[in-house]
Amino acid sequence: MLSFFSDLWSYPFLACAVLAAVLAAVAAGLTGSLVVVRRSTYLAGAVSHSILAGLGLARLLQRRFGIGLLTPMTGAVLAALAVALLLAWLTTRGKHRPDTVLSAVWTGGMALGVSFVAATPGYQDDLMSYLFGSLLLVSKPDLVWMAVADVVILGVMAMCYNRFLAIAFNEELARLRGVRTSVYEVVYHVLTALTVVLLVRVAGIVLAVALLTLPAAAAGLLTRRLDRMMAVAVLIGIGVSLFGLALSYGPGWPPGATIVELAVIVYLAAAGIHRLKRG
Amino acid sequence: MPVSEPVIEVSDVCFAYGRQEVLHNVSFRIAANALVAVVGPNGGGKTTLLKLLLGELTPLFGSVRVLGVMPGEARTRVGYVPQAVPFDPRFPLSVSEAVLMGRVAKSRFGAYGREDHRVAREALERVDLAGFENRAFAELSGGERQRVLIAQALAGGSEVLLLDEPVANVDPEHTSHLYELFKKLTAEVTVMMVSHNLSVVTGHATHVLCVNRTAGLHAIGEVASATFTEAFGGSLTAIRHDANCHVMDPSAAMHAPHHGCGGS
Repeated sequence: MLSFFSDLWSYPFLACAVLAAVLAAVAAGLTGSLVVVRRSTYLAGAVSHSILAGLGLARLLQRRFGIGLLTPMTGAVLAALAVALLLAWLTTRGKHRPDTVLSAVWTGGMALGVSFVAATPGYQDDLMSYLFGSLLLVSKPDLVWMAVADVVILGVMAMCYNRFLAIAFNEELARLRGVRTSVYEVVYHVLTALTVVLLVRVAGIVLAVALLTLPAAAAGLLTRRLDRMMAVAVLIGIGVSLFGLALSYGPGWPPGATIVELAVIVYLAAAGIHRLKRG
Repeated sequence: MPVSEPVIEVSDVCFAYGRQEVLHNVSFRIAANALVAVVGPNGGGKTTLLKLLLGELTPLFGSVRVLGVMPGEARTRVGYVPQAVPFDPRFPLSVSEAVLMGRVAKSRFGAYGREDHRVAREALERVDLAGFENRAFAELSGGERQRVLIAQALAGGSEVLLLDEPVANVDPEHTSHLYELFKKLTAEVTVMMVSHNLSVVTGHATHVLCVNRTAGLHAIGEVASATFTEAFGGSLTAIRHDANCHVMDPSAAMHAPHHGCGGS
């Protein structure tokens, strides 16, 4: 772990990794708290797994047709937003069972991604790194869009917090009090999609949901208001991300997996504290 | 709205879910500051009627006016309180946050302002929950939660309260306190509540609206207690859920032509 701190000032990629971890933790703490209180973890899972389709399609188009601007990350953002809007539309119309829709999008997106990767010429080892995260490979352009996404999420959350809280508590009551719930549902889905893309960069498609929900779930056990839950979730997220990064650096463990393991430990500790407090 | 105008005016309303007609030629007018108990058997159309008043449903025929306008336009002036709010018992929400939700569409984007907090505090005082601001909503009793939801509606400036079986999940001790509260609130607002408890009808309500696919409104003075005894069976405290609603023969009334479409 000491080698991490000594190398931090020597290697710019480590500074990038630290910044990326902090930016992802801020988004995860804010959006993740809403996801947890709304019990919509499956939404985040469906978005994260369908991102593989966007990554794969972007790389396929890049290789086959030479569209340089369409990077895998651009594909991931576009796929996440498209899936979020599709899910918002399907679930608010209420004509389909939400769990069935989410499962179909989750597995369908993953399957499409595998097919796109297979159809792309050459070996796609970097695409596979998206499955489990590649925190140490975060570039400066990645940091820029992560920071922009954070600003958007923070701004929207600050403006719409009261409306999000009312909808999360009871959608029908919020609607009857005059809130245009269908509009805020779309905004919520888009925020979740943006956050998941950030987390995929840190923890990968498979583990992103854990980083979204575990710090928020732990914070929920320690606080009794959503705004405080968000603040504590951000702090927990930053703590486990930085500690996990430092801890994994020396032995060469995968940083995303180490961060998620620490998040599980923090959640269990919070559950223990919660139980002790309740007696 | 002029004082003489009814707060709620339902004229010749018919409503059907698909081909299943649930309300037929329903007409009534409710004046300001009334406390109306809506009674009738399950499936008789009580909840459908509330949804029509809230603008959640649109009548097939006839018209609904609330506070002189279409229900959709009056939505923020009408407070709906369900019989229970399905929510996660670990949902992080304080009492003051729950009450402030009544002002959620009135407040600007961002945090609630001083005025919002002042109105929310006053609303809590009106439902006798002053000092509960920082308590967790989940830790309250069923009766206290109903009071908080009523405070939420009042904080939003509701002039009409629509309560759907407001004491269904409340213990008997708190039930009478809630009815006293509803009576007290009629000094300021009009209250319409679905109820299965006869003591409410005889002891607190000013009017009874019997809904059983059709509907009839009666001032409480017109309905002798003997009528209830005869209609609902001896000393029962709960209205029996059968077809014996006391004011009408629903099967005959359902065969009457639609008033709202020229007798088609």
